[in-house]
Amino acid sequence: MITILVVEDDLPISNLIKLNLNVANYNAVTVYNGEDALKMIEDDRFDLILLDVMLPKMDGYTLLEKIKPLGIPVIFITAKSSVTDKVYGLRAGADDYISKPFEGIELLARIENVLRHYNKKSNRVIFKDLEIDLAEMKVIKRGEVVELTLKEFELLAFLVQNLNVVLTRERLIEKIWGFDYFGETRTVDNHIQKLRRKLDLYDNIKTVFKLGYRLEES
Amino acid sequence: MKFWQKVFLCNLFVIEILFISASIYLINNSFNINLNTEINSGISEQSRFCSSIETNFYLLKIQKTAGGHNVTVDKESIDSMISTYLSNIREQDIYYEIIDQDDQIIFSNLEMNISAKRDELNTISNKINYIIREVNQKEYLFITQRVDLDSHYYKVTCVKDISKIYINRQYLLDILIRLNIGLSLILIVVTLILSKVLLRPVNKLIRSTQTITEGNFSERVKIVTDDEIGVLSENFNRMAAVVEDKITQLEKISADKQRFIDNLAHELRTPLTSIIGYADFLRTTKYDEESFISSLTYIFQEGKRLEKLAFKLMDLIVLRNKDFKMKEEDLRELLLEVKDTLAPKLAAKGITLEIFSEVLKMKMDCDLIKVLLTNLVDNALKASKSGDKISVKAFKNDEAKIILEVKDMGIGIPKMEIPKVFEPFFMVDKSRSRANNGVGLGLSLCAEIAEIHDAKIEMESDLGKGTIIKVIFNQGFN
Ligand SMILES: Nc1ncnc2c1ncn2[C@@H]1O[C@H](COP(=O)(O)OP(=O)(O)OP(=O)(O)O)[C@@H](O)[C@H]1O
Ligand SMILES: [Mg+2]
Repeated sequence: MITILVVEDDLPISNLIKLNLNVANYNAVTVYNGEDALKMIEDDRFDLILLDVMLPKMDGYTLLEKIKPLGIPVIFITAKSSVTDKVYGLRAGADDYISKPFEGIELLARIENVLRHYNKKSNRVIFKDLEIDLAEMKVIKRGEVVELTLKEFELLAFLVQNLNVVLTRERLIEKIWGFDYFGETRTVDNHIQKLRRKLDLYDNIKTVFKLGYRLEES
Repeated sequence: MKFWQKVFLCNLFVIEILFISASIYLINNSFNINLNTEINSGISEQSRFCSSIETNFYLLKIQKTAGGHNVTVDKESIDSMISTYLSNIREQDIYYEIIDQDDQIIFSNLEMNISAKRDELNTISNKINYIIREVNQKEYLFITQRVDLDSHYYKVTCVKDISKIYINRQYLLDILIRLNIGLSLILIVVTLILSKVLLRPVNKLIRSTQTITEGNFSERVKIVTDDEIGVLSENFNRMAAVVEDKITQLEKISADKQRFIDNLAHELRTPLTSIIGYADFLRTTKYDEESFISSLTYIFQEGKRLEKLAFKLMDLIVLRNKDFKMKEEDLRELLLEVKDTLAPKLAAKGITLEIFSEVLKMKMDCDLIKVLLTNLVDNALKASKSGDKISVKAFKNDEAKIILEVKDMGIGIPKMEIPKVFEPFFMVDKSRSRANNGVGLGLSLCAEIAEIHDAKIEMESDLGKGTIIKVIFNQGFN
């Protein structure tokens, strides 16, 4: 199991991050200031660190300097969002940068990205009788390759990566068709229908009233 | 036009008027004196000459009368007498011309041709006429006198070359012109050097103003003279200092504003992140009972935080824009009122609030002082633990200034942080303050209110022992 260290001084936000990480099956360890974080890093191994910039006792940039030699990936979380701050954060060696307020999905997507980049997360996802290869964009059902269009595959991958989480139609459009997509939300429904039919996921892709869809292992 | 050019032109103007006119006056004067001397000497010479002609005539007459009696001398012999007499006279630069009454020239050694009308020849007996005439670019003095010899008369003209005086005058005028040119050149050089020297401090000033214009406001002029330029540069420095002060003040204000906005953005984002995040979590995931309750609690708490932030911000904004109604009120009554409103909070935490105050009238905005006091007591309350005491005192000190003092036995503030606590959003221990529902605007608010009442706030604190805050109202306010 992947363990993530959450360094965030605001208790509600720290708990929020932990909740989201748990949903995605990560193990989350929380600390509330820079010094404690440093001690933690020295004692334990972490796969990834979520780091707030403004921290009591030792700020995020200083902490980052100490983390870098260990080769642990770092994602900055900060309330500052001006461009210069972002540039500074990335130049300082963070792997990614997310600014408050953020959405849980967004945070999880970035974590996935970074982990995959570090090869800590395999590109093969197994769901029921499906074998999904994210790198080669291939779906194998009981040993047979299932033909999917690009959009269908992206939709499936997004669902699989956010197991048990409701994905709203807006979010799906934004993620898969892009911000500038002006089509109707019906497009999403059609694609979901096709996925259900092609992969026999009628029981697993649940329609959530007024919101969107959720993939469940029933 | 450059300064030295102006000075030069002014000087030149004055010198030309004075020097040239004086010189010309002198030259003309000496010329006139010389001319008069020439004329006078010419006239006396002429008289002498005429009388010697007369003497010769009488000698001739005596000779003639030696043989017989009373003979009249005939004109021919007179004429020849004059001619012989004259031909014996050799004088330089003096010429003679004798004309008889029939305008016949008896004698003349004039070598020139006179074309002009000879007015001087219209002479009556014994009157001497003279005229200055230019002939062949030379000036001559013509002196004519009538000489009566018995029944005949002759016009004797003596002509004298006086061109030397004119040449002399011309010579002097030439010198004057040359002198004038030389003088002007010297004047240029002297003015140039002089203005360079005099203007050096001015040029320094100019350079300083340029440096300041380029944005280097700490530039000062270093000029130590006790003349007007010294005064100017002193004033200039004073002005530059005022400008620099103002600018640093403005810069500080704008930096403060920027920091306020940055902090505000941070303070807004933090609760918003929680509210949005938990709400999203609840609507998109399957949660258990525990996370459901805790999520809702966080949403509620953080919503409250935002509400408090909004109210405090509004207070601050009102403070900055409102006209305040200062009225004479009793401070003691106000303290008791605040105690009443805070009573539930105090009781809940098990803290006693003691009030020490006499009747103290002062001019104030009642609502604002209440806000000030509530904030101070609220801070004390948050720093204290159950069973602690908080005391609020109002009294006049030795200087008869009214002092409002809030004292607690709470956790105190580290020495280093004391100056910072008045900054908006600053909290010594963020998580602790946040747990107490603080947003870090209370003391900023207090500082503004104190300023409106012309009061200053002093803070003493011992870590772990307690804090004393004094609001000292200025005397002039009462
Ligand atoms: N009496 C006190 N004892 C100890 N610390 C204090 C006291 N008064 C103020 N402080 C410190 O100064 C900080 C700033 O005080 P301030 O009143 O401005 O903000 P706050 O009390 O945290 O929030 P708010 O007043 O806006 O609810 C506090 O967070 C606290 O750390
Ligand atoms: Mg306060």
